[in-house]
Amino acid sequence: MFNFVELVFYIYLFVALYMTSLLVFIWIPNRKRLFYHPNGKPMPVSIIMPCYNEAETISKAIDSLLKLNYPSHMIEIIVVDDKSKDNSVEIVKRYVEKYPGKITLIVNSRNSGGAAEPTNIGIKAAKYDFVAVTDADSAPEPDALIKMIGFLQEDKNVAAVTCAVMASGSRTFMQKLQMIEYSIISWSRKLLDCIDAVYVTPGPFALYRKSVLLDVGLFDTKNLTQDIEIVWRLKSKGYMARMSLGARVYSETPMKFKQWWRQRIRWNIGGTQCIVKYRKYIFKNGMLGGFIIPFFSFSLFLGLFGLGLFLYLFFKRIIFNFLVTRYSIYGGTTILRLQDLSLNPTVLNFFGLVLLIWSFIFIFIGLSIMGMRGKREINTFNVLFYMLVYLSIYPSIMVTSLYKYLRGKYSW
Amino acid sequence: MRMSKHAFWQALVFTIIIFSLGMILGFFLELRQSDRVYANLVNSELNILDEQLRQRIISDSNVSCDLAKESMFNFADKIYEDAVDLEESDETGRITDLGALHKRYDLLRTLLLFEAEKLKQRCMEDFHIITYLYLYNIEDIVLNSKQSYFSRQLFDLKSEYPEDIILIPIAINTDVASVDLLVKSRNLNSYPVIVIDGKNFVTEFSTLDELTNLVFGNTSAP
Repeated sequence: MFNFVELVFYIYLFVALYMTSLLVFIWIPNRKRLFYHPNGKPMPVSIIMPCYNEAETISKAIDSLLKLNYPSHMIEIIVVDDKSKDNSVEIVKRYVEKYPGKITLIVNSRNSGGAAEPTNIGIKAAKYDFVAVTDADSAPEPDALIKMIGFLQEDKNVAAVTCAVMASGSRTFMQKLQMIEYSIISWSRKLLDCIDAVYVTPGPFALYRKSVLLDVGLFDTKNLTQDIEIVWRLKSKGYMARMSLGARVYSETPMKFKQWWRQRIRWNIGGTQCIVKYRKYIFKNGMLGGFIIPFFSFSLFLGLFGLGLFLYLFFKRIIFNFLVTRYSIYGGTTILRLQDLSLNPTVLNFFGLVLLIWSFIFIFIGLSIMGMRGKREINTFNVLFYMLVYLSIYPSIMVTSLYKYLRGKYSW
Repeated sequence: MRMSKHAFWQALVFTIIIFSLGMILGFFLELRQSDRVYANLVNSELNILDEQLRQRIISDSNVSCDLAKESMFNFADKIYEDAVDLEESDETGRITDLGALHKRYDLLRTLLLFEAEKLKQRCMEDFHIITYLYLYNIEDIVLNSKQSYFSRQLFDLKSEYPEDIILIPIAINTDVASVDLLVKSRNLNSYPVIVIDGKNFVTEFSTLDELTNLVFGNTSAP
């Protein structure tokens, strides 16, 4: 009969099946309206671009803002440099000279070590009530802003709007995997929007009401994921965050595993900071306490517990096989018998297979919706690798993040 | 945008249905898988009766030692194969409880042990009875790996000398009264243990050669 470990496996399978099913059940009735956005009327927008050592990408980022399909006189761009060590400031200065009055450069008096402080400086300096925040390594599509602004105009309660963040590079295998990941995350986030559960307005491109940001105290400079924290704070004050799936921004992704690992550690520490900071809202404040905080907390718990259990079983098996092999070599007996390779499938195997197929279908639906099917980088091998290997690294990231968080040793 | 909060319970109902179907399907698949074992469960009744009758026939009638030995070896080999099947099903079975079947086979193997000992006494046959007493379903890795090694060693030995060895593995912790009595009567308290012809006990690691020498004495193996 079931033992404890098997029971845990069943619970994991159930949760995974439930979460994917939840997204599918949200998708079905909304599938024709995923790309809907209220017709926005152009209104003045200040675009804030925090920058630190972005000499390689900042020109492309500013150019993309200059190419936005939006009345030129209604846009001001404020680049806030956080004491870059490279020639980012010189590059921006050239743009300021070329576009006087349209582009402003502010140089922070110190390096703050994060994006929140320069963003806050930019928001305070912004002329307009609608402020967009963008990263200096990201490039929104020309129609991104106009597809987002309608959400703010449609409902006064909406204080933040995010868009689909897509991975721009595909030179390395890591980047190809992130292309899949970013597409699925964007699609899933839109589905969460359908239940008022957008939990982040990612840095690459997001739109806010300045008055509300000032009212809630601007971005938290102590949080490593200020773009998650601000949404939780807005929600805790009764505001809404929405997502415009049709609006896209392309963002640079880490090319190598080490950079990727560091980025994800930062994201996870930021997420943990948010859970701790907003724990009092659990099961309160609508979807923030009813879904977002429990979802984050439960994911963290499942990830940590699952990794612990996996390592325990893995090492138990390794020790067992090591001992048996050592005895067998010593005793001169058969090292491996056919009987030891149990080929009889179990109920757990069938459940696992069903979940794998179900997840595979889910991901392919997501990729199709995001228009990623047919791209060279999106092949079956990459998708399977993403599902079976890439995602399985996350529990290790969680453990490392939690360890760093508990030791208090973390920085941007 | 339509707020899809109904999706929470819809997904829950869907997941429960899929899970229930999965459990039912799994149950039937396991039943199919363990059909062989269940056939053995039915057969085990017959086997026990068969074994008791064979013992009676051998002791009461004038059955030749050769015939008795052949009959017992065939029966023991069959029981051994059933045990291997059972072990495999036990590893993969998640829904069906095979505990009762284990007990029946342990009972049967205990009966077989007594028959083998009687036959060896009566006919002075030169076959060897190897009883392997082990613990069923244990968590201790070191003990488990030791049992696994003993099991492999005995499997190799039996494969090498199929006509000279009768191998009877018995789990001592399946709560079968006769097995408990057997264990107590032989003053055994360290497991796993390989009992060779009721007099030599192997509880520590030995090589296959050492075990072969212990079974066949100092004489070279046949």
